[in-house]
Amino acid sequence: MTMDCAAARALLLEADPAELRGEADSPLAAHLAACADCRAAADAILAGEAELDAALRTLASPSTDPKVIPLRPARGWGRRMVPAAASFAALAAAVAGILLTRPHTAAPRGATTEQIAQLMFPAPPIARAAAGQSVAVLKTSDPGVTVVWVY
Amino acid sequence: MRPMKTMAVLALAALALGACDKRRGMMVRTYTLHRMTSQDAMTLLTPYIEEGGYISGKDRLITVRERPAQLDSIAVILRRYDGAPQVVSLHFQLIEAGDFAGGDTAIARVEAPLRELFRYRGYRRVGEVTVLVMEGGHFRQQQPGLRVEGSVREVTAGPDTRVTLDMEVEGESGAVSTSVSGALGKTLLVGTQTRAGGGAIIAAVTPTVAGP
Repeated sequence: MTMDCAAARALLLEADPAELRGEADSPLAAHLAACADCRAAADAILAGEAELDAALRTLASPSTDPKVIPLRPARGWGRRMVPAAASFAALAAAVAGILLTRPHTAAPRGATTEQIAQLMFPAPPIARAAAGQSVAVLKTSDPGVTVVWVY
Repeated sequence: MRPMKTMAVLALAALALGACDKRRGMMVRTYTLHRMTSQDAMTLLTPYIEEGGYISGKDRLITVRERPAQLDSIAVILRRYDGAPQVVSLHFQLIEAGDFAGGDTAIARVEAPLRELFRYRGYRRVGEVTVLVMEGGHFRQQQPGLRVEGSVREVTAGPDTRVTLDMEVEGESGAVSTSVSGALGKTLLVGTQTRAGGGAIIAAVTPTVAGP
Protein backbone atom coordinates (compact mmCIF):
# COMPACT_ATOMS: atom_id res chain seq x y z
CA MET A 1 0.00 0.00 0.00
CA THR A 2 1.51 3.32 -1.04
CA MET A 3 1.57 6.29 1.27
CA ASP A 4 0.09 9.61 0.16
CA CYS A 5 1.74 12.99 0.69
CA ALA A 6 -0.51 14.00 3.62
CA ALA A 7 0.36 10.85 5.55
CA ALA A 8 4.04 11.26 4.75
CA ARG A 9 4.11 14.90 5.90
CA ALA A 10 2.45 13.88 9.17
CA LEU A 11 5.32 11.48 9.87
CA LEU A 12 8.22 13.64 8.70
CA LEU A 13 8.93 15.41 12.02
CA GLU A 14 9.16 12.18 13.97
CA ALA A 15 11.02 10.12 11.40
CA ASP A 16 14.56 8.78 11.80
CA PRO A 17 17.30 10.51 9.82
CA ALA A 18 17.73 7.31 7.76
CA GLU A 19 14.04 7.40 6.86
CA LEU A 20 14.28 11.07 5.96
CA ARG A 21 17.15 10.26 3.63
CA GLY A 22 14.96 7.61 2.04
CA GLU A 23 17.38 4.88 3.08
CA ALA A 24 15.19 2.90 5.47
CA ASP A 25 12.89 0.05 4.58
CA SER A 26 9.62 1.75 5.44
CA PRO A 27 6.57 3.14 3.63
CA LEU A 28 7.74 6.69 4.44
CA ALA A 29 11.20 6.08 2.98
CA ALA A 30 9.62 4.54 -0.12
CA HIS A 31 7.37 7.57 -0.53
CA LEU A 32 10.29 9.98 -0.13
CA ALA A 33 12.24 8.11 -2.76
CA ALA A 34 9.38 8.63 -5.21
CA CYS A 35 8.02 12.08 -4.31
CA ALA A 36 10.22 15.10 -5.01
CA ASP A 37 8.08 17.54 -2.97
CA CYS A 38 8.11 15.43 0.17
CA ARG A 39 11.80 14.70 -0.35
CA ALA A 40 12.45 18.46 -0.42
CA ALA A 41 10.59 18.81 2.89
CA ALA A 42 12.61 15.94 4.35
CA ASP A 43 15.84 17.57 3.15
CA ALA A 44 14.84 20.80 4.87
CA ILE A 45 14.28 18.92 8.14
CA LEU A 46 17.64 17.16 7.83
CA ALA A 47 19.37 20.49 7.19
CA GLY A 48 17.64 22.03 10.20
CA GLU A 49 18.67 19.12 12.42
CA ALA A 50 22.28 19.40 11.26
CA GLU A 51 22.26 23.13 12.03
CA LEU A 52 20.78 22.53 15.48
CA ASP A 53 23.30 19.78 16.15
CA ALA A 54 26.18 22.10 15.20
CA ALA A 55 24.78 24.85 17.43
CA LEU A 56 24.44 22.46 20.37
CA ARG A 57 27.99 21.24 19.89
CA THR A 58 29.21 24.83 20.01
CA LEU A 59 27.28 25.45 23.22
CA ALA A 60 28.57 22.28 24.81
CA SER A 61 32.24 22.86 23.97
CA PRO A 62 34.30 23.24 27.14
CA SER A 63 35.53 26.65 28.20
CA THR A 64 39.16 27.38 27.58
CA ASP A 65 39.35 29.72 30.57
CA PRO A 66 41.60 28.20 33.19
CA LYS A 67 39.96 27.66 36.57
CA VAL A 68 42.36 28.63 39.33
CA ILE A 69 41.55 28.08 42.96
CA PRO A 70 43.80 29.78 45.47
CA LEU A 71 44.05 26.90 47.91
CA ARG A 72 46.64 28.58 50.08
CA PRO A 73 47.06 32.27 49.53
CA ALA A 74 50.64 33.39 49.98
CA ARG A 75 51.31 34.70 53.46
CA GLY A 76 54.22 36.18 55.30
CA TRP A 77 56.01 39.37 56.09
CA GLY A 78 57.56 39.63 52.68
CA ARG A 79 54.17 40.08 51.06
CA ARG A 80 52.52 42.11 53.77
CA MET A 81 55.33 44.64 53.96
CA VAL A 82 55.40 45.51 50.29
CA PRO A 83 56.78 49.00 50.16
CA ALA A 84 54.61 50.24 47.34
CA ALA A 85 51.79 52.17 48.94
CA ALA A 86 49.26 51.20 46.32
CA SER A 87 49.90 47.50 46.80
CA PHE A 88 49.69 47.89 50.56
CA ALA A 89 46.38 49.73 50.28
CA ALA A 90 45.00 47.01 48.04
CA LEU A 91 46.16 44.32 50.46
CA ALA A 92 44.64 46.17 53.40
CA ALA A 93 41.35 46.54 51.55
CA ALA A 94 41.35 42.84 50.71
CA VAL A 95 42.08 41.85 54.32
CA ALA A 96 39.37 44.20 55.57
CA GLY A 97 36.96 42.71 53.05
CA ILE A 98 37.73 39.18 54.17
CA LEU A 99 37.41 40.09 57.85
CA LEU A 100 34.10 41.84 57.32
CA THR A 101 32.53 39.16 55.15
CA ARG A 102 33.80 35.87 56.54
CA PRO A 103 31.32 33.72 58.43
CA HIS A 104 31.57 33.25 62.18
CA THR A 105 32.33 29.56 61.91
CA ALA A 106 35.88 28.40 61.38
CA ALA A 107 36.34 29.63 57.86
CA PRO A 108 38.63 27.66 55.59
CA ARG A 109 41.17 29.68 53.66
CA GLY A 110 41.03 30.21 49.92
CA ALA A 111 38.42 28.23 48.01
CA THR A 112 35.71 26.62 50.08
CA THR A 113 35.14 22.90 50.14
CA GLU A 114 31.87 23.44 48.26
CA GLN A 115 33.70 25.27 45.47
CA ILE A 116 36.35 22.58 45.26
CA ALA A 117 33.71 19.84 45.35
CA GLN A 118 31.79 21.45 42.49
CA LEU A 119 34.92 21.20 40.35
CA MET A 120 35.84 17.74 41.57
CA PHE A 121 32.34 16.27 41.29
CA PRO A 122 30.60 18.02 38.41
CA ALA A 123 26.94 17.09 38.11
CA PRO A 124 26.47 14.39 35.47
CA PRO A 125 24.29 15.22 32.45
CA ILE A 126 20.62 14.26 32.83
CA ALA A 127 20.81 11.97 29.81
CA ARG A 128 23.47 10.47 27.60
CA ALA A 129 22.56 9.33 24.13
CA ALA A 130 23.80 5.94 23.02
CA ALA A 131 25.34 5.46 19.59
CA GLY A 132 22.77 6.18 16.87
CA GLN A 133 20.45 7.76 19.39
CA SER A 134 19.42 11.33 20.12
CA VAL A 135 17.87 12.53 23.34
CA ALA A 136 16.03 15.68 24.31
CA VAL A 137 15.67 16.76 27.93
CA LEU A 138 12.44 18.62 28.55
CA LYS A 139 11.61 20.46 31.77
CA THR A 140 8.03 20.46 32.93
CA SER A 141 6.08 22.77 35.22
CA ASP A 142 6.46 20.12 37.94
CA PRO A 143 10.01 20.55 39.35
CA GLY A 144 9.93 16.91 40.40
CA VAL A 145 9.37 15.61 36.87
CA THR A 146 11.75 15.82 33.90
CA VAL A 147 11.12 14.25 30.52
CA VAL A 148 13.89 12.56 28.53
CA TRP A 149 12.77 11.84 24.99
CA VAL A 150 14.75 9.33 22.98
CA TYR A 151 14.51 9.52 19.19
CA MET B 1 77.58 41.32 71.73
CA ARG B 2 76.35 39.20 74.63
CA PRO B 3 73.00 41.04 75.02
CA MET B 4 72.45 40.63 71.29
CA LYS B 5 73.01 36.88 71.57
CA THR B 6 70.64 36.64 74.53
CA MET B 7 67.99 38.54 72.60
CA ALA B 8 68.40 36.30 69.61
CA VAL B 9 67.99 33.21 71.78
CA LEU B 10 64.94 34.70 73.44
CA ALA B 11 63.45 35.57 70.07
CA LEU B 12 63.96 32.02 68.82
CA ALA B 13 62.42 30.64 72.01
CA ALA B 14 59.42 32.91 71.54
CA LEU B 15 59.03 31.73 67.97
CA ALA B 16 59.19 28.10 69.08
CA LEU B 17 56.62 28.76 71.79
CA GLY B 18 54.38 30.42 69.21
CA ALA B 19 54.64 27.37 66.98
CA CYS B 20 53.79 25.10 69.91
CA ASP B 21 50.79 27.27 70.71
CA LYS B 22 49.46 26.82 67.20
CA ARG B 23 49.65 23.07 67.67
CA ARG B 24 48.17 23.10 71.16
CA GLY B 25 44.99 21.08 71.42
CA MET B 26 45.54 19.45 68.06
CA MET B 27 44.91 15.75 67.59
CA VAL B 28 45.66 13.27 64.85
CA ARG B 29 42.96 11.23 63.15
CA THR B 30 43.10 8.79 60.23
CA TYR B 31 40.18 8.41 57.84
CA THR B 32 39.48 5.56 55.44
CA LEU B 33 38.36 6.64 51.97
CA HIS B 34 35.65 4.80 50.04
CA ARG B 35 35.74 6.31 46.57
CA MET B 36 38.14 9.22 46.48
CA THR B 37 41.85 8.89 46.09
CA SER B 38 43.95 10.32 48.90
CA GLN B 39 45.09 13.02 46.49
CA ASP B 40 41.48 14.05 45.79
CA ALA B 41 40.66 14.02 49.48
CA MET B 42 43.65 16.21 50.28
CA THR B 43 42.59 18.70 47.59
CA LEU B 44 39.08 18.75 48.99
CA LEU B 45 40.14 19.10 52.62
CA THR B 46 43.03 21.54 52.31
CA PRO B 47 40.80 24.54 53.14
CA TYR B 48 40.07 22.92 56.49
CA ILE B 49 43.70 22.68 57.51
CA GLU B 50 44.68 25.68 59.54
CA GLU B 51 48.08 26.91 60.57
CA GLY B 52 49.87 24.23 62.53
CA GLY B 53 47.66 21.53 61.03
CA TYR B 54 48.81 18.88 58.63
CA ILE B 55 47.31 16.46 56.15
CA SER B 56 48.91 13.49 54.44
CA GLY B 57 47.58 10.52 52.59
CA LYS B 58 48.34 7.33 50.78
CA ASP B 59 46.11 4.90 48.91
CA ARG B 60 42.74 4.93 50.67
CA LEU B 61 43.89 6.52 53.91
CA ILE B 62 44.42 10.10 54.95
CA THR B 63 45.78 11.33 58.24
CA VAL B 64 45.03 14.79 59.57
CA ARG B 65 46.44 16.75 62.49
CA GLU B 66 43.97 19.44 63.50
CA ARG B 67 41.82 20.66 66.34
CA PRO B 68 39.01 18.25 67.30
CA ALA B 69 36.33 20.55 65.91
CA GLN B 70 38.10 20.66 62.55
CA LEU B 71 38.55 16.89 62.61
CA ASP B 72 34.81 16.51 63.15
CA SER B 73 34.12 18.89 60.25
CA ILE B 74 36.41 16.82 58.06
CA ALA B 75 34.52 13.66 59.05
CA VAL B 76 31.25 15.33 58.00
CA ILE B 77 32.75 16.47 54.68
CA LEU B 78 34.02 12.97 53.97
CA ARG B 79 30.64 11.41 54.78
CA ARG B 80 29.09 13.83 52.32
CA TYR B 81 31.52 13.42 49.43
CA ASP B 82 33.05 10.03 50.08
CA GLY B 83 30.23 7.93 51.47
CA ALA B 84 30.28 4.15 51.28
CA PRO B 85 28.51 2.63 48.24
CA GLN B 86 24.77 2.88 48.70
CA VAL B 87 21.79 0.72 47.97
CA VAL B 88 19.48 2.50 45.57
CA SER B 89 15.79 1.84 45.17
CA LEU B 90 14.50 2.38 41.63
CA HIS B 91 10.76 2.56 41.16
CA PHE B 92 9.70 2.00 37.56
CA GLN B 93 6.30 2.57 35.98
CA LEU B 94 5.80 1.67 32.36
CA ILE B 95 3.30 3.92 30.62
CA GLU B 96 1.75 3.64 27.18
CA ALA B 97 0.62 6.75 25.35
CA GLY B 98 -1.57 6.64 22.28
CA ASP B 99 -4.76 7.41 20.55
CA PHE B 100 -7.09 5.92 23.10
CA ALA B 101 -9.48 7.65 25.44
CA GLY B 102 -8.92 8.39 29.07
CA GLY B 103 -6.24 8.61 31.69
CA ASP B 104 -5.10 6.51 34.60
CA THR B 105 -5.24 7.63 38.23
CA ALA B 106 -2.24 5.40 39.01
CA ILE B 107 -0.06 7.76 36.96
CA ALA B 108 -1.89 11.00 37.71
CA ARG B 109 1.27 12.71 38.99
CA VAL B 110 3.17 12.24 35.76
CA GLU B 111 0.24 12.41 33.38
CA ALA B 112 -0.22 16.17 33.84
CA PRO B 113 3.39 17.03 32.89
CA LEU B 114 3.15 14.63 29.94
CA ARG B 115 0.00 16.33 28.67
CA GLU B 116 1.84 19.67 28.81
CA LEU B 117 4.36 18.40 26.30
CA PHE B 118 2.71 15.78 24.10
CA ARG B 119 -0.52 15.48 22.22
CA TYR B 120 -1.41 11.85 22.87
CA ARG B 121 -5.05 11.35 23.77
CA GLY B 122 -4.57 8.72 26.38
CA TYR B 123 -1.99 7.51 28.92
CA ARG B 124 -2.20 4.25 30.81
CA ARG B 125 0.03 2.33 33.16
CA VAL B 126 1.20 -1.00 31.79
CA GLY B 127 3.14 -2.19 34.80
CA GLU B 128 5.14 -1.20 37.83
CA VAL B 129 8.18 -2.60 39.55
CA THR B 130 10.70 -1.57 42.22
CA VAL B 131 14.25 -2.86 42.28
CA LEU B 132 16.97 -2.49 44.92
CA VAL B 133 20.45 -2.21 43.51
CA MET B 134 23.84 -1.70 45.12
CA GLU B 135 25.74 1.18 43.53
CA GLY B 136 27.79 -0.30 40.70
CA GLY B 137 25.47 -3.31 40.46
CA HIS B 138 23.14 -4.66 37.80
CA PHE B 139 19.42 -5.26 38.00
CA ARG B 140 16.90 -7.26 36.03
CA GLN B 141 13.24 -7.81 36.79
CA GLN B 142 10.68 -9.43 34.59
CA GLN B 143 6.96 -9.83 34.94
CA PRO B 144 4.20 -10.37 32.39
CA GLY B 145 4.27 -7.45 29.98
CA LEU B 146 7.21 -5.69 31.61
CA ARG B 147 10.96 -6.15 31.76
CA VAL B 148 13.41 -3.74 33.37
CA GLU B 149 17.13 -4.21 33.14
CA GLY B 150 20.23 -2.10 33.66
CA SER B 151 22.84 -0.99 36.12
CA VAL B 152 23.43 1.79 38.60
CA ARG B 153 26.68 3.37 37.51
CA GLU B 154 27.16 5.76 40.39
CA VAL B 155 25.56 7.78 43.10
CA THR B 156 27.20 11.16 42.74
CA ALA B 157 28.66 12.69 45.85
CA GLY B 158 27.71 16.12 47.02
CA PRO B 159 24.72 18.04 48.29
CA ASP B 160 22.63 17.31 45.18
CA THR B 161 22.97 13.56 45.14
CA ARG B 162 22.20 12.09 41.73
CA VAL B 163 21.84 8.52 40.60
CA THR B 164 23.26 7.66 37.19
CA LEU B 165 21.93 4.52 35.61
CA ASP B 166 21.78 2.65 32.34
CA MET B 167 18.26 1.36 31.86
CA GLU B 168 16.20 -0.62 29.43
CA VAL B 169 12.48 -0.95 29.93
CA GLU B 170 10.42 -3.14 27.65
CA GLY B 171 6.69 -3.63 27.35
CA GLU B 172 4.60 -5.43 24.79
CA SER B 173 4.35 -2.38 22.56
CA GLY B 174 8.02 -1.46 22.57
CA ALA B 175 11.12 -0.69 24.56
CA VAL B 176 13.07 2.36 25.62
CA SER B 177 16.69 2.40 26.72
CA THR B 178 19.20 5.08 27.55
CA SER B 179 21.54 6.36 30.23
CA VAL B 180 20.08 8.91 32.62
CA SER B 181 20.96 10.72 35.80
CA GLY B 182 18.25 11.75 38.22
CA ALA B 183 18.05 13.45 41.58
CA LEU B 184 16.84 11.45 44.55
CA GLY B 185 13.07 11.46 44.91
CA LYS B 186 12.51 13.10 41.53
CA THR B 187 11.00 11.37 38.53
CA LEU B 188 12.49 11.00 35.09
CA LEU B 189 10.09 10.15 32.30
CA VAL B 190 12.09 8.39 29.61
CA GLY B 191 10.06 7.94 26.48
CA THR B 192 10.21 7.13 22.83
CA GLN B 193 7.81 6.70 19.98
CA THR B 194 6.70 3.16 19.29
CA ARG B 195 7.40 1.73 15.88
CA ALA B 196 3.78 0.86 15.22
CA GLY B 197 0.51 2.62 15.91
CA GLY B 198 1.86 6.15 16.38
CA GLY B 199 1.94 5.83 20.16
CA ALA B 200 4.74 6.08 22.66
CA ILE B 201 6.21 4.08 25.46
CA ILE B 202 7.34 5.95 28.55
CA ALA B 203 9.25 4.65 31.56
CA ALA B 204 8.89 6.69 34.74
CA VAL B 205 11.82 6.04 37.05
CA THR B 206 12.23 7.50 40.54
CA PRO B 207 15.45 6.78 42.44
CA THR B 208 15.75 6.89 46.22
CA VAL B 209 18.50 5.77 48.53
CA ALA B 210 17.50 2.65 50.39
CA GLY B 211 20.53 2.53 52.67
CA PRO B 212 24.29 2.11 52.86
